[in-house]
Amino acid sequence: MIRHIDAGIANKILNIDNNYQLALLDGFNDLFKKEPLEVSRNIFLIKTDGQVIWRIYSKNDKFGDSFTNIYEKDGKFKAYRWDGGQYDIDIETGLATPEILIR
Amino acid sequence: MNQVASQSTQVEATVVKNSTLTSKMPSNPGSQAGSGVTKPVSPEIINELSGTQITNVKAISAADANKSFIERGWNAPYDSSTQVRQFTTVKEVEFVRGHTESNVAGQFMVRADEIKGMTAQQILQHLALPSIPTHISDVKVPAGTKMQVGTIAPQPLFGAPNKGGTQYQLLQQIPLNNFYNTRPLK
Repeated sequence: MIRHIDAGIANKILNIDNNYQLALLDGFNDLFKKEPLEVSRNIFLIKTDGQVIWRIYSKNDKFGDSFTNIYEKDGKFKAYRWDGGQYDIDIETGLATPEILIR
Repeated sequence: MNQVASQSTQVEATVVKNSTLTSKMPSNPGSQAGSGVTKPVSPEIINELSGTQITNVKAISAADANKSFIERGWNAPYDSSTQVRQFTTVKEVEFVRGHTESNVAGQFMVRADEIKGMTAQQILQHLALPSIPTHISDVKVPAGTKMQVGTIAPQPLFGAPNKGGTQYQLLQQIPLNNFYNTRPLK
């Protein structure tokens, strides 16, 4: 279980507020050991000291595709996944819900 | 080289960027390819492939290619009336990818010639994208990468009621820095 993330290893950081950040790690990061169910959950909500609050999860994790971007859109947090899909991120729970195939 | 390639000694290696692998390939609705069957490559295809650096070419149905997307809850990306070709690159090949700032690195791409000279609006229509691309990136696909190629399905919800151009799809993930030279679309 990953309990701490050093923001310095993240591909991208989004500041949620003064205390929390959304961290996107590269799916090829050694942390994930190329395990599909690890690779596919490569977004974390962390406190500014690196403590992991939650790790993203979705019904499509089993396919092993990592996320390649996180961003804000229309006031909500989104993630783009290798499978071509845009996912909506529930910032409270870490649930990523498939929205649309943007390819 | 598998049996398909060995049936024609003229199948050479070519950068897929310049090939007409899909544009000249018949849809073969009556073919015996089926799902996952390695079929002989027709003389027309062999001639077009001359100089192509790909191997293990096989045809699958669009239904099979679309299956994994349907399972994920997505629309089908491949036109159901056509076949999809799977192959493996033998040498590094170059593609391009139209995208927004949200989706730089992803599995879908096209040959440079496919969208050469097109405006962003034209690319949107031709590739049946849900939003207008703002940027284009070059993509370096390593040797030994599994891919597939086929005709883009109609996407009426995105204002593209007819089937679109030819898209290539990576069947395995490649490093993010293989997407490079990102520049704005004019």
